[in-house]
Amino acid sequence: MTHPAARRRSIAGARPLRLAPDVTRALPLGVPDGDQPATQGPDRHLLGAEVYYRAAQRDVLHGPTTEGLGVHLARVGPMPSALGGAGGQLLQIVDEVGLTGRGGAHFPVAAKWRSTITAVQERHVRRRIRGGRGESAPGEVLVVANGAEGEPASAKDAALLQHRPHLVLDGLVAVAEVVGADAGVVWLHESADQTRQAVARALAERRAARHDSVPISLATGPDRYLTGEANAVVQALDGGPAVPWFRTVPAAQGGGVDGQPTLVHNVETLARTALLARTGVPTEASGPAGGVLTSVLGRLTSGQAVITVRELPPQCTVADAVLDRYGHEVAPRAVLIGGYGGTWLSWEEAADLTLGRLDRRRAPGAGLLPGEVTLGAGVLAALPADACGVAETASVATYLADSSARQCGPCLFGTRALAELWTRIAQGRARRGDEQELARISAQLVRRGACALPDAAVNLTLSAARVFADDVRGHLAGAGCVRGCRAGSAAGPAEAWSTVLPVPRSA
Amino acid sequence: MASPDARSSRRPDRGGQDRGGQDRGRDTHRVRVNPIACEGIGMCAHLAPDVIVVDDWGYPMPATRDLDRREVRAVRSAIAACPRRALFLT
Repeated sequence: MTHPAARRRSIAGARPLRLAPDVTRALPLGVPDGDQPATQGPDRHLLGAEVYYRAAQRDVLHGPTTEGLGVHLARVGPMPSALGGAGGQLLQIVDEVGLTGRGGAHFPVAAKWRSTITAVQERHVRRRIRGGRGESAPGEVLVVANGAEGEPASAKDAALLQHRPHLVLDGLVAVAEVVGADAGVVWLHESADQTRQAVARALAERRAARHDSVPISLATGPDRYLTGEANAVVQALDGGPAVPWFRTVPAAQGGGVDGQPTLVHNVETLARTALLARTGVPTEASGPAGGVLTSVLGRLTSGQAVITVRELPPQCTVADAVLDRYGHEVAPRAVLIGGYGGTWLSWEEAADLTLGRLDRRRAPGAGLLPGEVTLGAGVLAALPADACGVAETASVATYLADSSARQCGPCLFGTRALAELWTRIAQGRARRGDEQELARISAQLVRRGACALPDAAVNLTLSAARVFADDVRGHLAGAGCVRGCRAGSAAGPAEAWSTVLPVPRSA
Repeated sequence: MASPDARSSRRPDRGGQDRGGQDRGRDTHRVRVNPIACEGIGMCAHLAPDVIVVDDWGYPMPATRDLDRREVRAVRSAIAACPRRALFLT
């Protein structure tokens, strides 16, 4: 563990995170070394300050207060018209910048808007052909701000909605104007009380000020991993259960709520849209509009697991993003990049990758090597030197299998098969051929579900097999875990084995 | 608004009403499966074995390539035979 990046940061790495008063100080897009040039003009940050969450409960431990409408407008300026005006045409800006969906899939935003614009225009044509009769049962074109953050190690969406709800809501209204939508919806987990209160207050402020051109409402779904999956959101808003649904016509193209186009965007995508509307296309001189929003899993000196939401510059490395929030004296062994459907990389592979390089769409058929990995929704979870990769992976794989909506056969059987395979390995009762079995099951799971949950389990477990080959061999040899993980003693369900990654207990 | 039990009856995808005509007038055809509707009955793999194989659990894994005319004919018979209406051409 003497990687250059680890050595360079060893002093900071040796300093366990303490919640000193200075964490409230706004951290303007600085790497920990703080050599960021000051930017001119309106504030270009998404968050500006760091927010700390308890990892297990995902409630705020320490963070700034909710920004009111007046303060928000004073900071970033008024929202220009989405269809022209000072900010230029928003669709063109978003296209030129190459903004992609921040829920993790990184789908190009401009392409999604264009398909909805086309669908909305076709809807008008259809109405006219029906001679106005269509007016009686129209259904609304909706834009959804999706804040149902399913990833247990992610808290960036909560941080945005709690700290700067108006930035997200500005983006929601702007997208509604661009595509010609009738209304906006903010979609949240039902137990996300802190977030819901912040959004409800913000919506009340905006209504009182008659700030928005479309009505915005608030809706919630059950506290499950899949509740934020885009098609689950659409089906829930359509009166069905909040589980994924298969569509031949994508929701954005007219297969949405009430058979109308429904555009679902992650809340960070909307916050970025609201920034870009004000800044226009960023130039070399102006710097980017908003940094890379990350959720970094770490520990306090007390041992409590925390998620730090940090806005970091694209040139920041994984080592710089993780180490001074990590709370250990020795460099980590590995990093899980992108969340529970993401990819394990060894510390040596991950340390010097820059966030800007990782912040991209996953290419079709991409593998799990450092050159192909994506930051997904911005999760960085470092595995301490003394933690067992097999136990962590078995826990999370079991959580993913438990999270299945049990609708698609390959997921119902295959995602569970992966979880059971890792449980067997962790408990030292693997069967002959289980290592080959992992590759065989994985090959049958890629793109086999209505949603990407089986793919998540494949990415997690295949990358774990590569990065934790030593741990796997140790467990397979039946000699027990050299790191002393709980899996060997087989006490409790597999979800309880992880000591680093937060795994919500299924009911 | 769908009733709560609408899903238990596994209503077909609402895009499905266009499905019959969706593939008309295209030069190239691919076969797709709606994995939620599919229950792994396996008629398709019998009727179009060159295009569809089943996985470990009996669910169809269709070829992800453009089909030739003979294959398209086989797939059409598989589509007609699927009790779950889970198969379609794009």
